[in-house]
Amino acid sequence: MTTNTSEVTIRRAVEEDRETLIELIVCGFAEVTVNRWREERYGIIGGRTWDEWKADDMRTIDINNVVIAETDGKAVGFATFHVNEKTRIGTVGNNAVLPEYRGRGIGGLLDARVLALIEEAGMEFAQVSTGLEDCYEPARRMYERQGFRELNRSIVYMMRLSERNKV
Amino acid sequence: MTLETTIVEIRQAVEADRETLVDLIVHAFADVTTNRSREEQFGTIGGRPWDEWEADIMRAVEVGRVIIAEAGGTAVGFATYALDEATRIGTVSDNAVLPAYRGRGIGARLLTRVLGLMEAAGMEFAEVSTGSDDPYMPARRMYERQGFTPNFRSVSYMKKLAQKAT
Repeated sequence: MTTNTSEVTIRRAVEEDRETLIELIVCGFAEVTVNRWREERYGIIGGRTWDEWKADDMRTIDINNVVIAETDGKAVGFATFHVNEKTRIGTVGNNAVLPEYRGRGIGGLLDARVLALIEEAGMEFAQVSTGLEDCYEPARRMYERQGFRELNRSIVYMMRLSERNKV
Repeated sequence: MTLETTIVEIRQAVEADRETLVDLIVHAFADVTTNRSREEQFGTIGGRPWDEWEADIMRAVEVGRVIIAEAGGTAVGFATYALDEATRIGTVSDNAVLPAYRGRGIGARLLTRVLGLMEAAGMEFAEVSTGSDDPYMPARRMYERQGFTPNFRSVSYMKKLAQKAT
């Protein structure tokens, strides 16, 4: 824990935070989002740019499932989660910190708070997915430090239907 | 294509197939389902065995988005898909063939049919997620043969939360 970390406050999000969250998700995920990679490889999807698709996540999310990290009164990161009462598995959704605020343990604080909320909600397990490219390495290390164990690895494939091989 | 493949028919599923589909998903995915590997690594989830969770998928699925492969009148495989009108991305959800009927191109025929249905529904792209471990190798090869390319590799983590003293 550095001194920088101690100035960070984690709080539950409220409805008034929604516009801030939309901005945060676009800036916090600019280099690591599936939406952007799709666009880089296949061009504009459905007539809208990647940041519009990503913003949708925050336009529609239940605000009770979001926590925000603030430093000096400025929102610099957030994390989302949801709980499943049947499986009793809580899932960490997005966890993102603005690039210039990374490396200070803010993501870890957000994750710890989310795990506490998931546990308070009566969940028995927590689950999270992240990428395997190099840019996700800090995220993977963070989850492993928090006691997560690898469950499985997957690949998402994509193609333009007009280019499919007729086999 | 072998002779055996030629007697396989692919058809749209109907409501009357639901119990068959529940049975199929449990048997066709027994070796490759996340629900099962989760149970093996972390114990029973939510008080129910993995095949019950798996069966739920078929109990809730929209049968209009399911196709079935039949060999000699017996259902031996199925595929499910979803359409997103906004992104125009169609997603292959499940594609499974009973172990005894694998290696005959039935999965590929299911996939071809699904991609055709997506195209007919106005989709521009198709997406599918599969495992990167060894048991999924035939699936990955099948997707690559039909023109899919890897777009994103991910890892799922799980953790048992500390149990409070009672």
